[in-house]
Amino acid sequence: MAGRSASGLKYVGRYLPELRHPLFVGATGLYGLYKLTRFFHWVTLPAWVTAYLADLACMPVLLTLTLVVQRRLTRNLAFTFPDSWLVAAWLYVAVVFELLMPHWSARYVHDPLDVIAYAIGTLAFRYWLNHLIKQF
Amino acid sequence: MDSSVSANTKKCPHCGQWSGWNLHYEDRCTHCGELLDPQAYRSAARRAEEERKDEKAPKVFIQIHPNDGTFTRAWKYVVLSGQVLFAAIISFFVWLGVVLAG
Repeated sequence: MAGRSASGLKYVGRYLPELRHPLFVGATGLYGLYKLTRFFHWVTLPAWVTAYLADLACMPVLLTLTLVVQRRLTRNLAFTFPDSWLVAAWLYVAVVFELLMPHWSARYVHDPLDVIAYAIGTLAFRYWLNHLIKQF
Repeated sequence: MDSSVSANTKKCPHCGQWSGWNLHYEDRCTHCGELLDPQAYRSAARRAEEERKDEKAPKVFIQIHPNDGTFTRAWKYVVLSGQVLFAAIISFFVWLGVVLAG
């Protein structure tokens, strides 16, 4: 079992280097930890953490996964997203999660500060993750 | 009425006189000068205004115009396919996130 997970990590390290970036690992790790603490009721986190952590982590994770898939499908590992695409992605996520989902599901709440959190996440992706693999 | 120019005639809604009509929304009465079909004129003006607004609206995907050259069309198709692929992948992950979050 341990050997299988180690070989999986080796595969990620060799073929999906984008997923090794500290920002991506940190964002997914923090979100995972937050979910675990909520599930097991380990600690009571401050309100701003529960309200905005997922929104801050959302764009770096979403855009990194999209970049990984787009690079492999187009067989162009040097591809990076133009700024206009990042703006479009930010608007798209903001519209889906802040306008459409609150209408469809009671689990989603409209909060204008979430849009700012998405923008910060998009900027973090733009400055630290949207680069050639060599530049990581 | 000038029948040598128009094969059709229409009764003017303003002065009630019969006037030559080319079935065009801008045709005017030869007697009083008013529009022969004001409703069609308003519809055409509204359509033109909507088209003008549509041209000003931001375009999500790159526009390929019929008068673009072969080279321009080729690189625009490459960009367009990348944009569509990007939209599809990001939509998939957004959907996956919504499903996994419950």
